[in-house]
Amino acid sequence: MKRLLSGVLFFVAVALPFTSLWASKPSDLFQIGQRAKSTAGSSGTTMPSGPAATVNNPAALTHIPGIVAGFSYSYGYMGLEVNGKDANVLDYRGFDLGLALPLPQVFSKKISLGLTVHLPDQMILRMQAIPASEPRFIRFDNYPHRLETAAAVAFAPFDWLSIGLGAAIMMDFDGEEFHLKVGSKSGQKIGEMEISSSIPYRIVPFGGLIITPEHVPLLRKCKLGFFYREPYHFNLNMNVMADVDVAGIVTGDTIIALRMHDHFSPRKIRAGIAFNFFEKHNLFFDLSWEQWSQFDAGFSTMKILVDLGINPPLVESILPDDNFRDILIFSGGLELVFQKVMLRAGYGYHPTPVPNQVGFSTLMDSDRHVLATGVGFNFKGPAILPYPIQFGLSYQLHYLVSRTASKHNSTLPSVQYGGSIHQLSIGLKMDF
Amino acid sequence: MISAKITKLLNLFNIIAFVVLVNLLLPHLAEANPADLFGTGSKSAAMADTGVASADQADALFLNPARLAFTPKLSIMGGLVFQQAALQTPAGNRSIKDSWYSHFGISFPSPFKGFLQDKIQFGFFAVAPLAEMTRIEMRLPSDPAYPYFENRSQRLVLIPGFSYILFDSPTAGKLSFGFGVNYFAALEGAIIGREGATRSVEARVFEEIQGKATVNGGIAYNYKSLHFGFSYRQAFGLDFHNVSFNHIAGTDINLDLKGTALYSPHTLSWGVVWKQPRYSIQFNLIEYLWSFYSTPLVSMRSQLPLVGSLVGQLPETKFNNTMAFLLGGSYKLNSKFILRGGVGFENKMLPEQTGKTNLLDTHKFKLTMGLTWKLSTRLFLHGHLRYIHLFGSTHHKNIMTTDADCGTSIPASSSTVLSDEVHCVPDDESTWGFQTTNPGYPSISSGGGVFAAGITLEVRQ
Repeated sequence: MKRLLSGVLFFVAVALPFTSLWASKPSDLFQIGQRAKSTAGSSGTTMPSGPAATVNNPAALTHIPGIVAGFSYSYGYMGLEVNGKDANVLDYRGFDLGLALPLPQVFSKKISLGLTVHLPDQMILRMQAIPASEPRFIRFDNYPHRLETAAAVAFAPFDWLSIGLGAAIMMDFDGEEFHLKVGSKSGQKIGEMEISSSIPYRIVPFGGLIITPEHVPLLRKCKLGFFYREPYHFNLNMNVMADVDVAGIVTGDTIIALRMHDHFSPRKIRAGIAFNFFEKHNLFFDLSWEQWSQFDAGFSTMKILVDLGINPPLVESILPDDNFRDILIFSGGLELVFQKVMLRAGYGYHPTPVPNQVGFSTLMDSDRHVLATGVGFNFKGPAILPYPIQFGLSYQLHYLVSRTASKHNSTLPSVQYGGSIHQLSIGLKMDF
Repeated sequence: MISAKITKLLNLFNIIAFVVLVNLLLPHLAEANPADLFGTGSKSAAMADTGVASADQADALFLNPARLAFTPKLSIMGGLVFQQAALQTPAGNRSIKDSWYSHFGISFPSPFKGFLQDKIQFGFFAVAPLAEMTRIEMRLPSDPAYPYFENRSQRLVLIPGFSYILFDSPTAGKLSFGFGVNYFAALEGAIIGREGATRSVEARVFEEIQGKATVNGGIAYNYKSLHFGFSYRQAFGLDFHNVSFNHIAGTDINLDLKGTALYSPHTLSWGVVWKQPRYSIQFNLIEYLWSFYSTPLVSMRSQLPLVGSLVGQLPETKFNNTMAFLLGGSYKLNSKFILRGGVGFENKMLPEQTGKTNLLDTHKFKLTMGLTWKLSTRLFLHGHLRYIHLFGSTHHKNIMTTDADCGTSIPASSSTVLSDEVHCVPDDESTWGFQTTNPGYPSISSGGGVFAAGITLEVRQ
């Protein structure tokens, strides 16, 4: 009972405040959980560490014997370049918090809850859009910078099968009406405004299962994991209308309408396998399919109507479809366990979903190789917190293959880009 | 014996699991700042929102965080509130958007050992509208509006916190202090639009949702049958600031918008409870420091074609501090049911609207009642009904007419006076006399009522 109460500490005081702003993208890029980070994500579907199971594969929550709380801080240096110069992409920084909470068995079946939060330390959510003609690292400029929270419940109907379901609540910003009244009345200048806007909920479901085929001789030491997640993108709508009424001089309207999509997370299907060898060590392989062909968030749309007696010759451009392609991501990893020390390493290959940018726009992304390594230490906490604690340290190198966007129109400049991302993360996991 | 205890414990766990699951999988079942208007849980809401010296659930984080130390070791609450309002305006009665709200809270001990063992209690409390996470409604200065009611409840409220027991003695009583953090967000950004290489308007957008936190704090002291409490809630508003620079066909269209919506003022609360085995009586005195609120209106600067640069001059909106007097009580009918009730009065925060603005508020009287049903030793169902009556009042406008000889002098603008909008033309009789489009002229009446009802399920160790 005391263990339950103690574990709830993190669950509520730290993580729950953010349950209403769930998302999942930063974890796709840099993973959540020390084991997933240090194996380049390859352990995520089958053996995510502690509360990180909530995001990686909620079915794994039933494999956690007791209450586990986790905390980590990650920093990612964005060493990305455009035409040999620093691309000035904002570095990735933030906290990961989580709790896994086994509940009493119902009908002799295991049930567990999980909660994971990634909280950027610079802002809750960043949205940035630039004109279509300017180069943009489409997957690295905004996507790492958003709050990501996932909550899930898992149960084990059989000893060999665990099922996990999660629900994520994201949000949109719907600026229904920004109505200005500008002009003069009674000889006085008037500038006043009314606003009607809302932040509606958006639900993003996900789920997974883990099979432990202990009764199948060849697969006796394996775990098979599967994961599915629905897509999401953030919608920003702003409608600004200015009524201008200067008696005898000018009367009319100015309308500004902005539509923006950002933070696209593709539909994702993931399968993984973990081999246990020499009782303690583990080998991981993972394959993910991401449906980037549904991507439609490359450019914002802005329309301005001026009806004040002057009609500026505005042209409305029609931008081509983004035409991203679906991708398959492969990763593999290894974990060696020596009493109180764990050594981990992994590799992942992430092909780019972005097609050659031969036209006017330049959405930058290239194939990415991820090399990861990490170490974990087990020890007992001090007298004030006398619980088993695991300290983790991980490093990831993301190498973006150099790529050149050569244009069909020779008057448009070609753009060469690439670079690397270095992510360092430290974390603590406590078993209550 | 041991088996029976384990069975009871498992039943408790299952109930906890149910409550947590419902509230996690329906995350909108966490609450917002409806707490200011419609109460926290049904238990305190049934007693006119008195709780500064009596709260014993996770909603203490809103009422008085120090009271978290007086909750059971583990306590979980969750429930729903429904509201329906009829606020009088010249265009008919107006309701408050978002009829349904939910609340969720949990209180639990810290895992610390040693000198901190059994000294700290943690908790989390949340309130949220079911329909949306947040809604911002800011009106034109002359539009009739009830800033006390209309756009204060439509946001998610999240308050994690803790309390610390300073001493707990059979002779000297129990003293604690506590803190909670009221956490939400602010929006800041810029939109730049200009003709780009495509010759169409291309947008450059920078928007950030930033975290924002304010503090709730309090102290609580129990001495025998007397309980005392004091709490302070820091003011909280959802700030937004957005600029838009657009250069179209050689013309600038620029906007700079700034405002604070969903405002709750600095709040000081004092409370005392006299508690007997069968009944309790409590009194709360609450001071709302509305005078720190600058304006519920949007500040705007603009640059538009032919109009040029214009800084909107907002009429002055003066808010007064208010006091609320709350009296609540409970009576134990039998071993299963506890009857609760309360009354409250709060004076109005806005002066008479004699000028351009029509920001309406009146003295308010609150009548509440409720019932607690003890379903088992650990499971309680609380229900409540509430009616807030807005005393009717009428605001008469002061007007300023142009010169009798149709002179060209322009009256100086004033926040307490309504100006003539059409200066007279000597040859045009239709322009003679005072003319205005203000919907509050010659007078505007305010009043109405707000009905609310709710239930809260409580599980405690």
